[in-house]
Amino acid sequence: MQTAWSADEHKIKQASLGRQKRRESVVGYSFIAPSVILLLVFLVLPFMFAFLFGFTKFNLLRPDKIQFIGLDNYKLLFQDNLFYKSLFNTLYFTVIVVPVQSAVALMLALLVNHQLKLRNVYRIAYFSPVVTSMTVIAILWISLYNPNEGLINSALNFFEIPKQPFLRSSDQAMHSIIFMSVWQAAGYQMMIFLAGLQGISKDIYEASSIDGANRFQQLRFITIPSLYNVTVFVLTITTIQAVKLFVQPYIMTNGGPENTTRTLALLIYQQGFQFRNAGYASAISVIFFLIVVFISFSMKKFFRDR
Amino acid sequence: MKKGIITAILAAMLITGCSSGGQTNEAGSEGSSGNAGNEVIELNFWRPQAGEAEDNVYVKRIEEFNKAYEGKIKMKMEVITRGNSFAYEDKINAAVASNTLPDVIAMDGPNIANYAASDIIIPLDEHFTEEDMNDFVPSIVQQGTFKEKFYAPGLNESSVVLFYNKKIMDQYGITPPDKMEDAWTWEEWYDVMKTTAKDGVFGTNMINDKGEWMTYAFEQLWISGGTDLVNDEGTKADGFVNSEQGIEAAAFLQKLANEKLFNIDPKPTEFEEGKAATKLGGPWNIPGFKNYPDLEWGITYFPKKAGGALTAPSGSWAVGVSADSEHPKEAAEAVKWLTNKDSSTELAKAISMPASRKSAFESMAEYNELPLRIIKEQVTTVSNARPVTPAYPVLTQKFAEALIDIMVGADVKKSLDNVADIYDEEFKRNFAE
Amino acid sequence: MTDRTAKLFLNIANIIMSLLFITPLLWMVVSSFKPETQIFADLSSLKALLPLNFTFDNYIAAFDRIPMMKYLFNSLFYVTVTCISGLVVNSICGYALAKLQFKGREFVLMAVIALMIVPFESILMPMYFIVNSLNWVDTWYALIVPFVANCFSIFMFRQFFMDVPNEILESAAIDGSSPMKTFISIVVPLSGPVFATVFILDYINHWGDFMWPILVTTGEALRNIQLGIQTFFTLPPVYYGQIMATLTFTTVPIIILFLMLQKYYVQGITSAGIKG
Repeated sequence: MQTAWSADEHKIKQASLGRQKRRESVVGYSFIAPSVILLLVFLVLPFMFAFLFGFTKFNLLRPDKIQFIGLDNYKLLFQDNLFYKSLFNTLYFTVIVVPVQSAVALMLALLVNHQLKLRNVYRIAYFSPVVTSMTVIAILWISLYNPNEGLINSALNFFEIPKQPFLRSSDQAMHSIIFMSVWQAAGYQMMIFLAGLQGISKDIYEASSIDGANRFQQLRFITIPSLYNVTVFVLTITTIQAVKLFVQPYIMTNGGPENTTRTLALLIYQQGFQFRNAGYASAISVIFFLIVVFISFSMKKFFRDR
Repeated sequence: MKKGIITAILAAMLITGCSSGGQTNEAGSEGSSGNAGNEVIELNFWRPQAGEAEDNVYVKRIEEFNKAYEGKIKMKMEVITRGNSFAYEDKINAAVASNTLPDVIAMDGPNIANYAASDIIIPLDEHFTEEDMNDFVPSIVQQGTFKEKFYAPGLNESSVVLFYNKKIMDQYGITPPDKMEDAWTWEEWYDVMKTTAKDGVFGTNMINDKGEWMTYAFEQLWISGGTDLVNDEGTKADGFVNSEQGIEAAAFLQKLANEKLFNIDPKPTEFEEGKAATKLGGPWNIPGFKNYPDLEWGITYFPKKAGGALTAPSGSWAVGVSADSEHPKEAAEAVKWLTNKDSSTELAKAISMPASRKSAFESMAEYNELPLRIIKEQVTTVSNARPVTPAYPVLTQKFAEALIDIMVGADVKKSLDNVADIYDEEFKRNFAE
Repeated sequence: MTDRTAKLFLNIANIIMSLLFITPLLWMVVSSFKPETQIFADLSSLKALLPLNFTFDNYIAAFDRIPMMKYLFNSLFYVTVTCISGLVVNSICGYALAKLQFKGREFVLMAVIALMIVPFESILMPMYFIVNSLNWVDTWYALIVPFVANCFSIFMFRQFFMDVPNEILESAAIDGSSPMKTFISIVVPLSGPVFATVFILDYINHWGDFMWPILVTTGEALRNIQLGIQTFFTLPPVYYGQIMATLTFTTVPIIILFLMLQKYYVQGITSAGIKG
C-alpha cells in the first residue's frame, strides 16, 4: 500500500517533471530562436560561402571565372612563409596582450568602483581611448613614437638613453603596438569588469569588515572570486579580439617593417580585398578560424563554469 | 561530382546576386532605361567623392551634358565616399560580383588595366579621333591603354615636383634650376639636403605612406635609371624591380634615410612651417600653402639620375564605360563629354591639378610662367604612367612595403628580390594565359 | 588605512591614470577650436593641450561642407534601433543559454563562441550577396537586420545571468510565474549594469561602421556620420581643424550616452533581492 502509493507519487512527480522539462525545452528554443535564425542567415551562411570559396580560385573582379581547385589554396598556404610569420605575430601579440590588458582593465575598474566625487570623470577618461577615433589616436601615437623628434625620445634623451626607432624597427614595432593597444582597449574590458563588480552584494563586504577583514583580504577573498564568470568572459573575448588584431598595425605600420607586425587579419584583408584573391583569403580565414576555435575551447575547458 | 556541386552552389549564389541586382537597378531608374524606343536613356555614373571644387565641376558639366542631350540622354551621378582607404574599389568589387555596376565609372589610373583585363570596362577606341588622342598628354594615353586598346581617359593629370623653401635656399646661396636641361640630379639634390639639414630643419619632406604614393613617386627613380618595376608587357618583375639600376635607386633612398635627411614620420605641415628645405609633393599641396604667409616657396623639377632621363610621376582618375551598361554608345558619349577640352579646362581651373589635354593648357596663361610652368613641362613632355598590368595591386603594395623596409634599414637586394618573387608568382598564378 | 586616506590615495591614482588616458580626446577637442596652422605647430609641446587662439571657424566650415545634422540623425537612428533590438533578442538568448534546460544548449553556446571568431573581412562579400538578393541594398534593413543578433552580446549576457541566484528563479516559478515573466520582472531589473554595458559597447561598435555602409548604400539618403567624416579626408589639402571638429562633434553623443548609462552602474543583487 504504502510503497505502491509512493511509487505512484514518484510516477506523477516524474511525469510532471518530464512535462516541466519538455515545457522548459520549448521555452528555451523559443528564447533562442530569434538570435539563432538571424545568426544562421547573416553569419553562418556567409561563412559557409567563405568556406566554399576556400576551394576555389576566385578573383573578385572575375566572378564569372570562378574555378574549383580543390585543396590548392591550402597547399599554397602551408608553403607560404608570410602565413607562418603572420600566425606567429598574431599569437605573440595575443599571449602578451591578453593577461596584461585584462589585468590593467581590472585595475582600472577597481580604481573607479568607489564613491568618489569625480568617479564619472575618471570613467570617461579610461573609456575615452575606446571612443576616440583611431585617426586621432594614430596621429598622436605616431608622433609620440617618432624616431627623430618624438616625445618619448625626448624623455629618453633626458635620461641620456639614445633615441629609439620604435615603430620603424623590426625589433621594437610589435612591442610598440602591444603597448599602445593595451592602452587603447583596456577601457573596454574595464566596463565589463565594472558591470561585474556591481553584481557583488554590499552585504558581503559589510559582513567581512565586521569580521575584521582588511581591504586587500576583501579583494583577494571576495572580489576576485566573485568575478569568476566575468573574468572568464573577459579573457575569452580579449583573446578573440587580440587574434583579430587589425586596425592598429593597419594604420600604424601596415604590417612592417619586414612583416614583423603582419597579423593574420591583415593578411586576409590584403589578399582578399587589395589583391582580390577571395579564394586564397577565404582559405586563410578558415585555418584562422580553426586555430582560434581550438584556443578558445581549450580555454573554456580550462575555466569550467562555476 | 563534388566539384560539380560546389560550382553549382556558387553559380546559383552569384546568379541570385545578379538577377535581383538587375531588378534593383531597373527599379532605381524608374523603368525608363530598359525600354527601347524614343524614350530618354538614363545613365548612371559613379565616382569617388573629392573636394567641393572638384565635385561642383562634375555637377555643372553633367547638367550641361543633360541640357545638350535633352530628350535623348540623362546622366545621373552618384558620389561615393572614398576617404583614405580602398572603400570605393571595394564597392566596385561588390558591384561587379552582383552585376550592379553603373554605366559609367570613374577609376584610379592604375586600375584601368586591372578592370580591362577582367572585362569590366570596354574599349573606347572608335569613339576617340586621332586628334583627340594627340591632344591628351602622353601619360593619359599610356595609362588608359591595355593591350593596344584605349579604355579610359582622365579629366586631369597630376605630377610630383620638388618644392623648395626660398628663404632657406637664399640663406645657403642655392639657386634651384628652372630649365629642364639643368634639372637637379640625385647627387645635386643630396648635396642641397646635406647643406640645409641643420638646426631642426630636414633636407626634404616626403610622405612615406602605406598606399599608392610610394609607387606613384618612386617608380620614376627606376625609369630615370633606364629600367622599370616590370617589363613592358607587365608579365615579369624579376630583372626589373631588382635590376642593378633599381638597387641603385633604392640604395639612394636608403642613404637619405640613414643620414636622417628626411623625417620618416613627418608632421603633415613640416614644409609649410619651414622645418624642411625641400618637399617632394604635388600641385594638390599648393592651396594649403596660402595658410602660411611666412612661407616663400618655389618649384623645381623632379630630380633625375645623373646621365639618366628626366622623368616625372603622373596619374589621375579616369572615366570609362562598364561592360554591364545596356547603352554603351550613349555612355561613351558621356565619357567623351566629361573628358573634352572644356571639362578638362574647367576642372584644371577649379582645382590646382594640371589638365589632361594640351589644348586646355593653352587657355590657361598661369601655366606659362613660373612656378606652374614646371608642372606643365613635366606633364606634357616627360611624365610616365605607372605600370600597366592586371597584377598592379600586388606590385604596388609589395613595392611600397619593400621601400619602407629599405628606408628603415632592410637589405636592399633582398627586399627587392622578394617583390620580384611575389609579383612573378602572382602573375603566373592568376593572370598568365 | 582609514577611509579618508584610502580615498585620497584612490583620487591621486585616478588623476594620474586619467591624464594618461584622456590626452588624445583632450587634444582632439582642443585642436578643434584652434586655427588650422596652429594644430601641428603646437604638437610637440604642452601647448597642444591648451586652447590658444580659440575659434569656432572649424565647426562653421565643417557644418558648411556636409549636412552634418542629417548624417548624425541617420547614425543615431539606425544604431539605436540595432542596439535596442539587439538587447531584446540577445538577452533572452543569453538567458536561455544560462538558465534554461534544453537539448543542444551546450552546442549552441559553443557555436556562439566560435562564431565570434569569424573575421568580418572574410564574410563581407558573401554577406553583401545575401543582402543584395533580399533586395535590401540602399535600405535601412541592410544596415540594421544583419547586426541585431550578436554573439558577443549573447555570450556576455549568458555569463552575467549565470550569476543570478537560482533560488530567486525557482521561487518565482513556484509562484506560477512564466519563464518570460520571470525574466522580465526579476532578471532584467537585477541586470542594469550588464544591459548598460552591452548597449554602450554595441553602440560604439556600430557608431564606427564604415565599410559595410559604403557597400550597401549608394545614395545620399542613408549616409552615416562616419561616411561624412571621410569627406574631410578626400580634399587635399586636408584640413585637420575641420577633421578635429567633426570628430569632436561625433564623439559627443557617445559621451552623453555613456554618462546617461552611469546610473545603471549601481550594485544590483542585494540580499533583499535574494529573499524576495
